[in-house]
Amino acid sequence: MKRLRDERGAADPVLAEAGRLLSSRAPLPDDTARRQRVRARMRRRRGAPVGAGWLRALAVVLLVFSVAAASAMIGRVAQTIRAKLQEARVAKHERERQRTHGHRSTAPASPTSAIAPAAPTPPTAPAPVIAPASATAPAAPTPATAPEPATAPAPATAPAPAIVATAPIASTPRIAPAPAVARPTAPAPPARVATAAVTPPHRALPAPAATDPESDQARLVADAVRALRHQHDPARAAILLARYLDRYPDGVAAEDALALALEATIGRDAPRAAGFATRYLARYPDGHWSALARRALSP
Amino acid sequence: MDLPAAAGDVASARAPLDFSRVYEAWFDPCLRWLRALGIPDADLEDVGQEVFVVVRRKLAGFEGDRLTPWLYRIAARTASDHRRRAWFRRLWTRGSRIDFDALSSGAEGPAEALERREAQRLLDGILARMSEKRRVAFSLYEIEGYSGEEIAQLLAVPVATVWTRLHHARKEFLERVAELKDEEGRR
Repeated sequence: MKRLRDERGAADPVLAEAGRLLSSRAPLPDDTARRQRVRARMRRRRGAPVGAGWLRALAVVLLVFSVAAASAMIGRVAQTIRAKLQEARVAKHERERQRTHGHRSTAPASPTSAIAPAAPTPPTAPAPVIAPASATAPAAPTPATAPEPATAPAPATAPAPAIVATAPIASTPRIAPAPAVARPTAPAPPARVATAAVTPPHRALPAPAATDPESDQARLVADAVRALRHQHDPARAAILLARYLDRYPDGVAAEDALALALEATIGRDAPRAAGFATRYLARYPDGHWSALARRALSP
Repeated sequence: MDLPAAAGDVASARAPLDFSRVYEAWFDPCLRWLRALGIPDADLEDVGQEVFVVVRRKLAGFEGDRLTPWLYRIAARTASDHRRRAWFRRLWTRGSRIDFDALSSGAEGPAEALERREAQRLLDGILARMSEKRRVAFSLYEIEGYSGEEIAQLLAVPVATVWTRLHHARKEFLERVAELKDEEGRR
């Protein structure tokens, strides 16, 4: 077969044109210089540090790890933001709740409300609850409570250490249900008034976020015990216990909560202690801590 | 144009193949195959280097007795990869590459150089519209000067197949040239 490039001078114009086009590109000649040049490049490339593939794989692994770390960080930040929002929501709820309680307590203008401003005793009182009455007696009389003779004399609070020593220390809610005693309505308002008045604004109480009532009960009582025994903060313990009794007047740990509240206020806040003792005796006249309650009421 | 005999000897002797000998014997033919496969002249050296990097890596594992088709298959795959990469590269660079081999060498006048470049442009346009099988057979036969038997040996196909491809390729090529002539006549 005759090659088309040899038809350049053919009579047929198409064949001649095809020959002309094909002749415009000459066969690639052998080129020693080119061959050696490429060979030299190949040698240089062979001498280059090996591991471009490994480097590529390493880069991919690093990229994957970076993406994973970034995702984790973003997730963590989002979680933190969510938690902060939740905290803010709870704090707002708490403030509103306290405000509501405050309005309720100040509205009746009862004689107990008169002691509200005097109620905030120093929460950092170093004296534990089991301190001798002689030590607490001088500190307890606030301007409002001073006229009351019940708390001032030492004999009234003298038996407290012995009684407190027997108070429920591990006050986890008892499983045995409390007897269905009607809630005494009379002593309740003073406790609530005191709760609202004593709560310092900077001391955020545990969020009432627990949806399970049983866990909420246990949490409140456990926090109160911790505040009373370990943090030596009877004021906070009293608040928590008052809250417990307010929410769960017939809760499984109502008796223990009343006793603990009595312990937290005895020797510090005689009117409240008397209120708790009255409530305790009204509900549990023969209860485990009835002796303590009677002693708190005795002059 | 005859295919190199050295490598054939090497393969037939079943001796361990020496890369240097293979390279020296087959580098230039390989560039011709690459050109027939559609690689531009400006990229021939780079793609040829890629081909022989693969050959150097795989030569120890070569156990056949027909080195030519083996090399051609490597060249065809490398050319295919290069075309694919070039397509992606063109997306970013808009394909503005300078072919230094196409620049005027000074051995011919400006009019001749312009005429040659225009003819090459038309030729590339026609070849680009052909199927790869036809284009390879046609380019190797018409441009590089291979015989039908050499092309058959290279492509590992019967000689009749090569002639058939050449026949159809020539027919198609002449049709395109006739169209070009008609267009010229209308202008």
